[in-house]
Amino acid sequence: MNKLEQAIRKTAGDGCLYSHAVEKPSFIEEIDKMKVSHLMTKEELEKQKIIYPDFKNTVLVNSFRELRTSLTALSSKNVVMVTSISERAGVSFFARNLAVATAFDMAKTAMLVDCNGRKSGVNEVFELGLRLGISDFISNKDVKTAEIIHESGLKRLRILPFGQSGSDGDESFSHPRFHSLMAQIKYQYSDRHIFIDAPPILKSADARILMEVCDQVLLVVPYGRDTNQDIQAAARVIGSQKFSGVVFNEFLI
Amino acid sequence: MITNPLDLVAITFKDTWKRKELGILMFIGFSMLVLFLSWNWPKMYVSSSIIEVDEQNILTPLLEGSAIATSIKNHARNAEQIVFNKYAMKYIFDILKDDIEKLTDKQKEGYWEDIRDNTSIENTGSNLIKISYRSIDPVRAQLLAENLTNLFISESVNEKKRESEGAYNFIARQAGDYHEKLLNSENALKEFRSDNLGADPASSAVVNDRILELQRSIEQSGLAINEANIRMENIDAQLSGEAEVSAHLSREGQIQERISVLQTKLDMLRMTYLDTYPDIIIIKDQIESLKTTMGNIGKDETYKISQNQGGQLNPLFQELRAKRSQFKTELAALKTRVKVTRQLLSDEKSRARQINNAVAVYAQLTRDYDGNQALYRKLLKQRESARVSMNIDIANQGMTLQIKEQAIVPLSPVGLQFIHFAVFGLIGALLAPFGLSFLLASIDNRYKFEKSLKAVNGLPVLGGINVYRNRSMNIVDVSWLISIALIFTAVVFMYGYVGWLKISGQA
Repeated sequence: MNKLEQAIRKTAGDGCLYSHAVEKPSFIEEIDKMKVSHLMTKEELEKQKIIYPDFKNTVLVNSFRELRTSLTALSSKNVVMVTSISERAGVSFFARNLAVATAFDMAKTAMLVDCNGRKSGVNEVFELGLRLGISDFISNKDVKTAEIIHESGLKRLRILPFGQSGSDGDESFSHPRFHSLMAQIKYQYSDRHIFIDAPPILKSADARILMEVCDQVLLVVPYGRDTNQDIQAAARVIGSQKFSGVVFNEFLI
Repeated sequence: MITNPLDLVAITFKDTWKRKELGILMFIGFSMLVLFLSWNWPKMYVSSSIIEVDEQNILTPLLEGSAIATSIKNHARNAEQIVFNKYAMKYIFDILKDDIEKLTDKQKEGYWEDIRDNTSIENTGSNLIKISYRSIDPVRAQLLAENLTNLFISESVNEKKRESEGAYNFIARQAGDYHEKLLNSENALKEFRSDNLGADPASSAVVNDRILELQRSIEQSGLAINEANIRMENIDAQLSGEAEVSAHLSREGQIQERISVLQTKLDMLRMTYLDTYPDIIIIKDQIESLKTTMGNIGKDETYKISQNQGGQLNPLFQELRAKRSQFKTELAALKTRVKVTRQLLSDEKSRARQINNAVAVYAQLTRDYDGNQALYRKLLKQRESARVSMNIDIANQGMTLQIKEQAIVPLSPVGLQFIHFAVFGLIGALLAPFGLSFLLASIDNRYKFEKSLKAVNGLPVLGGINVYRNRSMNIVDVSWLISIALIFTAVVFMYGYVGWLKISGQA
């Protein structure tokens, strides 16, 4: 408990923002103490296609809740990689909202790890600007873990962006520092669920490398894009051990 | 692949919305293309006339059996051949002189082909023929329909005339041939008759009777010869028993006596027969021979002695000798008669043969004549029937082809009207994007349903996520809908405007 407390203090910075959490169990209290300097409004959330508990499309919210429940059942398998067969399948949208849905639970925290390279839109979504990320951590030994984990504008959700250094073809994810980073964030907090926003599994080597550090793989199948052969090929690449299932994304582009 | 029809419909709508930009382009493109077509679609006018064919006119039952009315139904069937023969081309070209003046022969041929293509001839009822002509010019349609109708009627009449005339000429020619044959056989018969007078079955019977008579006469003469021979033998037997000389008789006297007897007999016969009669000839011979004997007596010694002796000849002997001589004469006469009769018989037989041959030839000739005569009579009858048929056709009474409905100048065009184009254009344009989506959806084997994903893969399916709709997306969609509605309204208005132009006659 002491360790957890320390960690929370470390990430949330000093000082408690909320004074009403008197009767809550101590770890929740600690979680509540996570620093949120700016909360996104409903308009901002809707603009960025992020769900919130009283969002009017309850079917959508409940779908994400159900998915979250089945994926976060085991705390030992708390690293979930979200991938797809081809690009523009809505993986980022999925990973983002799964993390958000997980953060709905006041007993859990969530982290969204953006592994889509520099072109990823996660910075704009959460208005992170040019903050440090994974690539900076790998390329610069002076960068601390705490410097690359950022607030999201939502409670109990932290963002680990890709960062600004290096290039897309670097295969940064096979770097030992990445492995140590992942181990650190995986084991540091027992109730933290990590969602990796990964590139397409059949198109990118990064996705296959990332599979080594994750516990579960979720395959997003978008509307009218993939054939049976594609899905079977992806399932073979993922393997049955880590393959937790397929989700159908009915979005229209 | 989607097999459930409801799913297919749902997918069709979804995909159409997804590809709304393409859909809008298709809608505009299709509707404008059809509008363009309808604007440029030529107006076709059809003018037609109906001809009634009546085969049962008053003459037909009256002339039943003797005259044959040529059928008009055959003409209806061959109407096109009748209307489009060489003469017809000339007739029509005469009417359309101005149009074809500057055309070459090849162009004229094409022009005629066009006329043929635009003409339609059909049997609308059991006895109605409809001749129509279609053209972009209503006046021309009427002109050609009318002229083709007139042409058809006049050509049908001519055809019928030609047909019945041909039939008459044929039969007349046949009748002429048989007439000549009949004359020939008549002549042959006449000639034969004059060449073979008496060579008829009646004279054949006469000849047969004659032959029988001659045969009977030969038989009788044979019997008489036998009788005479027997008598001769008897007398010879008696003579051998008698003495030649019983008394002294002058030999001369005896011969004299005999000559006088024979002379008496000769005179008797001459009163009845000609000198050529056999008996007369024989008697003459005997008298002659006796006279010779008398002449020889004076020279004969033995005679002298016997005379000198004054011996007298036996009278019985004398008598027998006289008888014998008489019988001998009779026998010779009979033999001569048999010989002559046989000659006559053979003559008669050859005559009988000639008559039989002549009768056979006569029968043949008669048969020919009878046959030719029968055929000629029949042909004469047929020729008269054909003549009546021909006269009926010449008098234009054998059939009635009357125009039931005159070709008039059509007022409204036929074929596709603007309203058809409008309905086709708008509905087609609306359906085109959906049709494309439907086609693509029915051949697309990519996943479009969460449930099909579950059904096919055997992989764990955690669920499906709906579309996240935010305000800006809604605004975009609503603006799309408004645009689509505006485009649709604009297209409908364009159709309406073009339709108004067409109906008000400005286009």
